[in-house]
Amino acid sequence: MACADFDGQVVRQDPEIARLAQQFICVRIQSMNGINLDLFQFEYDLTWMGFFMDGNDRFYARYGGRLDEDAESHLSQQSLARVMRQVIGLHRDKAVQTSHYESQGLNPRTPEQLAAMTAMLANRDNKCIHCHDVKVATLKHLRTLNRFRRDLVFTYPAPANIGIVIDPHQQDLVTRVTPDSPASQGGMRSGDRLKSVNGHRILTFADFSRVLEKTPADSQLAVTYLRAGVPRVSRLTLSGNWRRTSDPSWRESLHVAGPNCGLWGKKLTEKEKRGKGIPADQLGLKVTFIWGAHTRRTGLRVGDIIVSLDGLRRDMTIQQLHAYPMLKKEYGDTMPILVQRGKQRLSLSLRFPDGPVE
Amino acid sequence: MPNSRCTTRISLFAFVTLLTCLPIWKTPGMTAEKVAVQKVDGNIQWIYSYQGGKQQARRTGKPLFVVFRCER
Repeated sequence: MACADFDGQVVRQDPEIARLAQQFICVRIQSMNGINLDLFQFEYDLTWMGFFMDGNDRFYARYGGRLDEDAESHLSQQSLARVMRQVIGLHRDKAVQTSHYESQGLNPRTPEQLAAMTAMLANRDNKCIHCHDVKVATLKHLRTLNRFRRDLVFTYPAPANIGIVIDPHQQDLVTRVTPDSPASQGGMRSGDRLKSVNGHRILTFADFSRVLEKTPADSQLAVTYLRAGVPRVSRLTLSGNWRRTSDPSWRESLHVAGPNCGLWGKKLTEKEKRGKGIPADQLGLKVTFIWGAHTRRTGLRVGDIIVSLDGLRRDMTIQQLHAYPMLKKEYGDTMPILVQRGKQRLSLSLRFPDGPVE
Repeated sequence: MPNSRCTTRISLFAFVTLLTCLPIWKTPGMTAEKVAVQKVDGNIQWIYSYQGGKQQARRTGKPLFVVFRCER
């Protein structure tokens, strides 16, 4: 499971984190059952998320989040210890987050009240509601209302989406500003030390991401920061599809977005690819299990090696292979697949079902 | 709860807004099922309920560190 290293080795075992944790009441929530979703709003596709709060449902900071390419991109001993020290000071000063970007949880709702959740739980022995179930139930219900859009999968955008690359270990520090991005056009530079965005205090990647989650596509952001110790403000203009990222395959909720390949597989190692005459940088996924009726109808077999998908030969993980039709194809579409079976190459045609199969 | 102003402006807003604006809720909800706690090892003394932690935070005057972590 993602974040296992960080959770097992840093949060639970690190002596410095343990020492700082003695100054907190530490709460570990393992399922979403009964959780007030009006209070705890976060990226439900994550497997690890932290909040710093007072005893009255008010927030000091958030901690967590990730980039597409790395589940632990912004989780580290150094940054967690740093924010814990900062929060101890904020708590002493009673300096809770006062911006409107944090909920006060005054309109309690639980995952059990989500309209699509009953059906999702009906076929499970274990009634544990996972974080991603909350997002999946929401998206599924929107689909039944014909209000689903694929862009809704892209929640809690990273600051990098608007050109601000944040240091994983000091998460108020800008390490790079992407050229031609809103941040670059707004005059921000590497080395800037973030203070707030639209009045919301920024201690962490997750604090920034929270503001972006609640920011409309076309809008302005006022970013305050220190440059060489001098306070500055940049006004960033956002427009277009800045929420979308190139590889959302890690998102559990993605399967609501579109049709699936109906199979599981394993990426071949470079050595295995070489043995089968497949270049190392090209697609080579061995089918290990077929669970979709539509997939079985193609003639695909367990043991086949997928070497091309919809004409693409670029290397992919199994998650990326799944994500491709979910984002690019519609129910009822047909997608060509080229497989290697023994010494043969076979062209197959995968026709997706006409609608979601629950 | 459905709010026509919110629903017509869905394309402008984020997922979090959907949770508050769209008719995704049913009432009354199912009762929250109790899920067995899986205590974890390590150096931190965890409390496995938010309400329990909140009470202790009020009693001790300490801040809360709340972690959501799926163990299953």
